[in-house]
Amino acid sequence: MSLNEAKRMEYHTLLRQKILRATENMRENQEAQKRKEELSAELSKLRESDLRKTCTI
Amino acid sequence: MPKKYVYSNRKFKSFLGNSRQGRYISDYLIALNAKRCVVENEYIDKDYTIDFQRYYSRAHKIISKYTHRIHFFSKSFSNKDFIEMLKGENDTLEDVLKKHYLGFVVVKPILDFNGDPLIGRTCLKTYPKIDGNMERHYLSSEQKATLYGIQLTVKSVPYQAQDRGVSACATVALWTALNTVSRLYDVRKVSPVEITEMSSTYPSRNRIFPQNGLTIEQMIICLRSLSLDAEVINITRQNNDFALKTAVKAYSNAGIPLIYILELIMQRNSALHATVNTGYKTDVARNIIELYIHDDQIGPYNKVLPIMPANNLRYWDNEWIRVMGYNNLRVDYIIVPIYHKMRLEFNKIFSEYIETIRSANEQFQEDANLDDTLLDIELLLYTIQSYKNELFNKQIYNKEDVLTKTLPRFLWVIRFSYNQQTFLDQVFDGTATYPTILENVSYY
Repeated sequence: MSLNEAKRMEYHTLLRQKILRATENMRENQEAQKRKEELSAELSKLRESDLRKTCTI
Repeated sequence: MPKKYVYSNRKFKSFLGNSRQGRYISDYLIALNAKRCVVENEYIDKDYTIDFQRYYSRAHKIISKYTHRIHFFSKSFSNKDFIEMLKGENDTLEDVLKKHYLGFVVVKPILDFNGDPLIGRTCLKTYPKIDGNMERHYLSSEQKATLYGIQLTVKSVPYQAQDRGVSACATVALWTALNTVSRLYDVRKVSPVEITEMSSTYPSRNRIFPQNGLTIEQMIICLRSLSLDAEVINITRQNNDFALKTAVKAYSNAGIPLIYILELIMQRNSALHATVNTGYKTDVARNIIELYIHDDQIGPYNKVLPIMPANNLRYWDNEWIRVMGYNNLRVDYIIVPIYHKMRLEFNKIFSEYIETIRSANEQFQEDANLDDTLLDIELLLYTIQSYKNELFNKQIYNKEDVLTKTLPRFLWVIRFSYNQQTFLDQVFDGTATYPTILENVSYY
């Protein structure tokens, strides 16, 4: 293994630790959970009136 | 007098007609450097045959059950060479034709209101993947055609123009989408008239035939009739186009087309239109900068740019604005044809993804040694086969364990890269009700 490869692996380990900590923080954050629910509801909302609109072009 | 099979590119327009779609395809073929075409007369096209049987055969006017199929090639050859090959007197032309095949267009014996022939099933090669420092990503699968015994293949997504007798935009959009997923989901291919009939089992105020359009509800019913499901993504309230771009990248990665429900506005009038996403282009930073769509009123792989300067891909700039004079073209909903086992909905995994980005950026901003602008986080959908195949060629930790682990058929992956080098995949169960991490795949 070259020195560069070893450095990259070490660096990637550091980056992974950051991400795993970030996702752990996110799951423990009540505000984040609330925002997730709101966004999820917004994206899946389909109005009755829109359902009956016709694609006519 | 020998039979005439081969024609030069000067004849393309006369075969394809003067409809908007015919002219678009002629220009597209010239851009692909098409030099010759071979015309198959009296070709039986399965989709048209079913439309003919259910609708046109009972018309007063005598309409042919045959179509013309035109094959295009990016290499010059003569009619004499072609006839010699058919007689078994030319050994080299078959390989040349296979190598330079650009695809085919079926021309139906039905005329539109201007008297131009309708374009039927069309499978044309895409533009090259690399465009300078940008990349085009297309949905495509191998489409086979046999021309007088020669096996030809082209990678494409089937296209056809609308036929107001049996199919308006929504029917054609469903036809393209279902053709694209038929192999992935193992569902049968259905013709436009069958799609219209399945959709119309749910009543609406519109007549079924001639076809004046389907409601969003009818489109969903059609997918459910084939034991699929539909996921509808509402982006009307999204201030930016990030949900749209994420859905395009994620679903395209798994070979799944999105059906766009668009609102077209001209002065005070508006109407809905349906088209299918068939690709996109990314810049150096892997951001989506344009879309490719199959629009039954324009043509295949039609380029869509965002309205500038907002650079928002919910608002489109293409022929509807530039040529047909509409003021505004906006995506309101996206319909995704879903296999019933894909239970983890886009809205749930997208919300997880958004909060992951937020939290990861906070972590990176806290560390002075890290530049959060170099952090790239993508959301991708995979089948188990395509994901393991991709990992097989990558350098990852615990490779044997990861490759041999039992995983569900569909996987959502949040991929983390820094300075364009991937270092982590968070793998979610695509068949679960809520986002559940199955594996963290670490890259060297």
